[in-house]
Amino acid sequence: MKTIRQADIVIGCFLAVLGLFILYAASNIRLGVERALSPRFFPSAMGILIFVCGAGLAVKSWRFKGEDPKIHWPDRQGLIIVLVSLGLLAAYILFMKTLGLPVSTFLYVTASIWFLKPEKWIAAIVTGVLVGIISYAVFIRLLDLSFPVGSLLEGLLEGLEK
Amino acid sequence: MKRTAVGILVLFAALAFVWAGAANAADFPKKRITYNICFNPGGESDITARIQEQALKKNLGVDVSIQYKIGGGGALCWSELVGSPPDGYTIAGHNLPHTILQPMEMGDAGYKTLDLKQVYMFESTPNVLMVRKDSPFNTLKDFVEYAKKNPPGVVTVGGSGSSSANDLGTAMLSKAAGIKLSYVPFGGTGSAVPALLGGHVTALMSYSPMVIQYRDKFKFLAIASEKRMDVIPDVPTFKELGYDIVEGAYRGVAAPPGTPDALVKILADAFDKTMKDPEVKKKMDQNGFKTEFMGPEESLALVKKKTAEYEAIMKELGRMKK
Amino acid sequence: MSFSFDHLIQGFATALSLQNILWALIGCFIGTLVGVLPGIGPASGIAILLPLTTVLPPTSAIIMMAAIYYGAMYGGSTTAIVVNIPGEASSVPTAIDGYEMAKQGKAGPALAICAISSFVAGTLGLIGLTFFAPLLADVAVVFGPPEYFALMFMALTLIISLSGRALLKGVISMALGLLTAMIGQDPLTGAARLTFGFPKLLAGVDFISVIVGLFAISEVMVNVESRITAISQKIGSWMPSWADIKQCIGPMLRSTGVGFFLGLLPGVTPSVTTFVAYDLEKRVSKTPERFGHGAIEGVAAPEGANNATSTAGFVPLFSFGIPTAPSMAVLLGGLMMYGLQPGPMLFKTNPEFVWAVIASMYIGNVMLIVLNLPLVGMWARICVIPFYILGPLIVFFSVLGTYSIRFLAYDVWVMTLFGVIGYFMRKFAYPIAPMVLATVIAQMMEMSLGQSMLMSQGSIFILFTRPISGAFMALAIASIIRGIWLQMRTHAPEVALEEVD
Repeated sequence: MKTIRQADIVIGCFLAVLGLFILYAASNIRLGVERALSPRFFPSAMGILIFVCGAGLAVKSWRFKGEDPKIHWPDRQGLIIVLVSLGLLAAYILFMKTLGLPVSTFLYVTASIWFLKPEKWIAAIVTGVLVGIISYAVFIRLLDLSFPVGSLLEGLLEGLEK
Repeated sequence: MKRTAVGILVLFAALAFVWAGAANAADFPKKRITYNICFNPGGESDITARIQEQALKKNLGVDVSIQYKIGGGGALCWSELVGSPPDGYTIAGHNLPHTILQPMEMGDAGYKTLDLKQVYMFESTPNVLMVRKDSPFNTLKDFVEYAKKNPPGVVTVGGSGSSSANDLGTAMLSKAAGIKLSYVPFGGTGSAVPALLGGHVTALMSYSPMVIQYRDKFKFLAIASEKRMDVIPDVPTFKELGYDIVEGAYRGVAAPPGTPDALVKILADAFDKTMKDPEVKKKMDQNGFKTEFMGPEESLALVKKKTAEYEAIMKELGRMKK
Repeated sequence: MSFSFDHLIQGFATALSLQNILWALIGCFIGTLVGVLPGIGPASGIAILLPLTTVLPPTSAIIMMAAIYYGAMYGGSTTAIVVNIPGEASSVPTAIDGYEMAKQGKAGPALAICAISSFVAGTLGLIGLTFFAPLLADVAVVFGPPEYFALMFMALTLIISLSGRALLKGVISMALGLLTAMIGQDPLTGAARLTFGFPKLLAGVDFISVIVGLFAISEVMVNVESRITAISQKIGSWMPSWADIKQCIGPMLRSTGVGFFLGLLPGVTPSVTTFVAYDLEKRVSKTPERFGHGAIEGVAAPEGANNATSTAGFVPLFSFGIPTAPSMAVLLGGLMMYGLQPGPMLFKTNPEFVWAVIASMYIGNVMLIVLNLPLVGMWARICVIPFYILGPLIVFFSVLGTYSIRFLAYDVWVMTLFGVIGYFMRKFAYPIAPMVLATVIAQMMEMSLGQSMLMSQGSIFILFTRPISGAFMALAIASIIRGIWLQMRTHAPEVALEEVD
């Protein structure tokens, strides 16, 4: 999909199908106590709305004959950067529970900065450490929020306390 | 550059081999406990938690963080509780009859009644039927007669939550008096009260604490307890007026299923001490709550007893899940 | 609660004690810090600090908590402007024009206008509170479920103006937002909806994760792929010009009015009123096409409404003892800890306390502007930090904030998903604001409609037969018709004019 018009047509069709699917999903909602406004009403209404708008969009764009802006897709390098960044974010979330907030934050921040600018690896590590420490000191200690501390860190701290 | 990133990802993976710490009752609790409230701020569950907060912290020795998880009439909060780690650090306020009725009425409420591990039951608040001070009804009789004279469903009664004591209480009154009242659920007592103040519903089926708070704005037609409450002696009971309706909400705390009994006991003891604290007791009475002191076993027995009762009532009212 | 000069003066005397000023200052500062994090709003901020306040006498404690509340409101706007992370839903409209200004190197003036507008709105709002509270409270109660629904519905029709020329896409964006909000449990009956058998989805989708994803994460993705150096290369002056300020007087006053009156209604939060105020400004402006590209009125208006609504929220609290938002309830809880009984009688039995709090709110307002104006320069400099460092930090904040909503990793995944969705929405020129507004008001809208139908035994005409809701519905429908007609007149492709990156 190189241009907006093309995207509109494709997405319009996709939305139309989505709308029908939502209508179907809505009709399967189990009814509980009878309460004048059915839990199915709004989802069904949305399904219909999305179907109509999606179809309308596709049709309107199909018939359009004016100036058609191009979509700004990233170049190859940009694409890699985005995908890896997303991957690092996913890893960050996945490991937060086990590694705990401070450690996984340190790893994430360091890795991301390093990845975005490999020559500034010192800045990467320093920032990572700083942010990791801050996340522990401020959010876990000072504000006492229930972020996971991570068994690694816990063990370390327990060891330190003894 | 790509290799470095991959290398780091591998490092993540390697570090993921963790040594776990088992829950140890000997040093429980050692960090803050999260106390989830399942209803709107300003409602009974909230007010009670606020009354308990200080004493609870003293008796547990750690901070207690009150969080709100509002939605589905409490169902959201309880289904989340059931999925929480059973390490004693997450508890939630829970209500009867809600936790019994919701799975019954909804089919899939996200939790089962007995999944909630009972820790302590600390209060009950009977239902109270109330109308505005300027309304034409002075007694329950007036109200019922009005409902009979009008088409079914015209008389609206607001309350807190669906499948709640307010809900059931309204249904029971409808049946007992032979009228059809329309129950309008609100997110909590906190949002039901403005509806009555503004005259958008005819009456409220709410809880006893509201009698004290809104003494000068509302008239109270009847209370659904066995006897009149000492703190509000001029409100007649439904029983006195000829309707055998004793209904209200019991409130307590529950823990996720699988929480070790040792931890539950520690929590229960803390709550017990809290409810017996004279400051707490005073505030509870002042605010129209009836304090209860039921530990884990008693609470579980109550739940089972009520479940059997409600099953019968629900079948009678025709509201069991189809 | 009646007004009396005596009480007010006495209130000021109490509030102006050195000790109380100190607590107010600390509260403002902490509040700002807390507000900067998405996901941790004033409610959590106050709750977290509640234990600390127990060592203080009641009046001081409440003063501090009110200061935290105000500070948090301000903090949320700061990140909205500087890094496009709205601290909470109410900061979203601020982000739309504020961030654009930041990209143009005008973060300073944007932040300053925030502070100024908030101050003006807060002060005016407080005056309203002081003199008119009992009257206003009675007015507010007139709003019942049909009026709420009509108001929400009208708010949705605002998306028409927010979508520029891309009406269909705006509607799609709104519909998708409403749909996401419906995942989980039905607000009236608790029935499971659109969960496809996944119990996790029963918890629904929290709108903060959606907002943070759509704004912050997608923005980072777009910036990172084009390898930008920094959000803005230069910093202009950090104060707005006099011309700027003059331009904003109208918006400030109008948004205060809108924000205050809507804020009187229990349940109407700043998240809704900021959108309404933003839209109002766009409609009355002689140059509406500037909105979305760094129009300073687009920052002044939401900020004014924000503060005015927060202040108005105290009216139901003081008059009826009903807290209209979680943060209010926490305040109420604080009161209870000191043996003060919540409810309408509180203010008969302890008037000196109430007036001290109100007086301190005036002071809190002043304090905020005194604290924050000088710091504007510091905040503005954040925009110039190289993006290879700032980007990961933004993500860190986003993850932190989103996780702290319910401490569920699930919410952070949702944020990531919406980050990707937001990315594609930018590519395909779909407006993001309608989706945000829809997610915020969906639950209340549906619940109000359900309650209204119960009140009318299933007839939808109740919305039209009652005067207030009828008026709103008429406005809404007129808005829709006008929007469709305007669309038919132009023949441009569906391109959202304000969100093209």
